[in-house]
Amino acid sequence: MKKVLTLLKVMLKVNFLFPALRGRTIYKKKERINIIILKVILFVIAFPLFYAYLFIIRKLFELLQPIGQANALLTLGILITQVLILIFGIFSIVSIFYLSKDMELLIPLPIKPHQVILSKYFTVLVNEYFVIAPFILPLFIYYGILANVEVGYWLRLPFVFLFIPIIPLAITSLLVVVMMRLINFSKHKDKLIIIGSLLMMLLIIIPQFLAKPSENSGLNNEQVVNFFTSNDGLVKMIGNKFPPAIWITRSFIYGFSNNAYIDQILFYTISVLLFVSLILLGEKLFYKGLIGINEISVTPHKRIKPLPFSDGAHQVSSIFLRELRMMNRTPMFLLNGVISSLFIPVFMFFIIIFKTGEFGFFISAMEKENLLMTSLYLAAFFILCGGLNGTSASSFSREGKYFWISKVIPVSYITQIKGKFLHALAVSSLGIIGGAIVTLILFKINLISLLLGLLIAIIGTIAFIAIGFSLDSRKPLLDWISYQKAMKQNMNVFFHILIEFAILFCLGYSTVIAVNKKIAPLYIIYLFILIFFILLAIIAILYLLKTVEKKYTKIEI
Amino acid sequence: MIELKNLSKSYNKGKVKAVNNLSLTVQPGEIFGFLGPNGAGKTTTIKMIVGLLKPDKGSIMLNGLCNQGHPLKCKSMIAYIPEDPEIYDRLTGLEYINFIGDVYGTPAKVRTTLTEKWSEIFGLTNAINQSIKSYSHGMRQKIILIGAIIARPEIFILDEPLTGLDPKSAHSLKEIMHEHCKQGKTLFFSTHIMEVAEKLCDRIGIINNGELMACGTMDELKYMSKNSESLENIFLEITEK
Ligand SMILES: Nc1ncnc2c1ncn2[C@@H]1O[C@H](COP(=O)(O)OP(=O)(O)OP(=O)(O)O)[C@@H](O)[C@H]1O
Ligand SMILES: [Mg+2]
Repeated sequence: MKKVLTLLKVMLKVNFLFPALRGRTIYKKKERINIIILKVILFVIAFPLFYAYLFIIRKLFELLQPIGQANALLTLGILITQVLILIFGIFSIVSIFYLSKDMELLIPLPIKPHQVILSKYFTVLVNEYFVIAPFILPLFIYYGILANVEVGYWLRLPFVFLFIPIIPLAITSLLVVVMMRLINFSKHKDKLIIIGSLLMMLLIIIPQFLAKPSENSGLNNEQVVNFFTSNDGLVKMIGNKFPPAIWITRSFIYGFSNNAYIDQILFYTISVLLFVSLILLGEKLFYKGLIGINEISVTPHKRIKPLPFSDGAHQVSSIFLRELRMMNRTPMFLLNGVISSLFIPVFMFFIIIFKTGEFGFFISAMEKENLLMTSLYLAAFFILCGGLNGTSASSFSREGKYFWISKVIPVSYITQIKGKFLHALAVSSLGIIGGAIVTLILFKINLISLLLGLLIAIIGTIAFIAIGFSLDSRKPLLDWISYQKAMKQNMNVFFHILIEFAILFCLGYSTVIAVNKKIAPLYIIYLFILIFFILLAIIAILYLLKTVEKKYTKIEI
Repeated sequence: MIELKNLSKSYNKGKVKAVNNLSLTVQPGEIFGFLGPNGAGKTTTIKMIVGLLKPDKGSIMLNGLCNQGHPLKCKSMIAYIPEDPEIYDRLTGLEYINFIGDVYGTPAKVRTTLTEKWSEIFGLTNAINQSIKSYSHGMRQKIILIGAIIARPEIFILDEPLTGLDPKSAHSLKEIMHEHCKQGKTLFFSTHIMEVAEKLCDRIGIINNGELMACGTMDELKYMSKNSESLENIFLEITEK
């Protein structure tokens, strides 16, 4: 245990402390003011999102309170958090357990595999706390205030928060350890890591949909009575896909009263069981899955002739090609880039295919909607398809220790940005095209509204890409040890997505108000949004081009 | 030609003075060896010359151009071999060479002949189509070297190029260095190996604690010190003061 703690301390330092320390450089006065301005901007951006979140919580609470089912709000929050951890934990765990650069140092040390695995598990766990805190803590606190809960709730809150990710992460770790062991038998490890992770995601997602919706919607009388007489009717219904969410909710609300000790016992037993299996399996399989994971399948002594020399490509295209190859050949970057760009459309497709019953109203609503309104919906959807991959906001960070090459080659920084821009645009376009195809297949969409939606989406995406580059060139994270650090756990990517959401939210909210109050006809609103994005794109690009030289020069390595 | 004037650079907000008021000139057609104990400031100086670090004070002129004022022109004159051969590990050797050829604007014909020649000499012919990720430390160094040759630089800057190379490759590298300087071009490299410096260099600079302690031809250095049989003795004498 002592070794685990020492290891954990080192890993946490490497994962969290060093960037923070490095960031604490002394700034000149002007820069300090810039940073304050930036923080204010981020706050202003985050505020409406936060407000909207609280608003939704209150509405749901007011809906559920009268029927005595308000508890379900907590279950819903916990369940969503846990399922997301189950799914996205896969990437973190593959990346931190297997693809992180400290493994080469750790294997030769006299430490047992399960000690390494435990300390790595806790590193990921600590990281998850930071990720879930902004979502789950406001829910817990606001619920507590709304429901006017007893003191015990507040006392239990920190523990509940700490317990939420434990079981889902342990399950994912177990699955990943087994998966990596299997992958290690094969020669094409890079490809299999991607395929395996995606299959695992499907494995987790599909059961969520396959629960037959017809039975749930048609409750018989007895069920209805049960549902309303028990306080936890809805809790149990929501949580039945992932029981730990029920256990946590009930322990949270009741403590030891109301038979909730049973839930606690269940929770602890399952946690202990999972941990024991993780330790046992980890001891057996972890290193076997790890060793040779960096091996490349090469065919030695095979000479390919004649050498395929390129005939002097343009500088922009050679930068573009470099970005493309470096990203698509690194499994973790590919997953976070192209694949996550295609993820939303494909995900949408599955949801609607599996749940046509529940989304039928949505589809017919889309079909009946006014042409311009539909195009606005589509624009928002396409921007989400193209904008949530962190390609632009991690572009500099991804270069990592190879960044010196970008600084010594005789390619102007503006040219480099152009190549990078094309690459980010290509990745986002894949998402947008995917989105367009899915909507064309699923809905009877008018072609004109599709094109009008695409117009806004493409211009908006261009603006967001420029913003992403500005964010990342300001302070790229160049000394990462795991690929995940450079993308998913990169603050620049996080801020980028935050900014996107905030802008989309504000535009959407104003549109709804303008339409409902009939402030302006729809075509004016459409034009307004179009012009807004055109201006945003122009400003963002001009700012990027104006500052990029200075920012590059400032990055010293 | 490389002219460094009153160069200074410190790390950690001035706490570590890595290079202090360093001035020296490297003439065209000259092999200049840069010696110094670990942590003396060799790499820091080199990184300033190639534009990775911005000097706190002082100026760097390359063939008469200031590297702050004309960064692009200066970069296109330089080829740089870093201490740690960190290059794009997901590309193949050939893709890397082509990338370098593209950005330095080397015609495809020249690339082909040079690459074929040097990959043969360095024994990389079989590996050139493989991912750099599968390369050994020395192989990475060699592919960077081939890239640098493809770039056809006016000024060659190498940071400890000989460590990690096998004897045959080290020998070839020394030939490259000679060849380069015979064409009247400039070469600047740092090293720890005294015999190499003694045999290879036209002039030698010795740096310690960020300051240039001595600079000149082998004969001049011998003249400056008391017991001057070998460069090693001179080096020890100068750096232990
Ligand atoms: N990134 C950095 N941050 C802080 N200090 C640094 C950094 N890089 C170098 N230094 C310090 O600057 C000084 C000079 O380092 P430099 O790398 O130039 O030495 P060197 O002569 O190349 O040594 P070696 O022969 O070991 O390669 C050393 O004291 C070192 O500790
Ligand atoms: Mg050095």
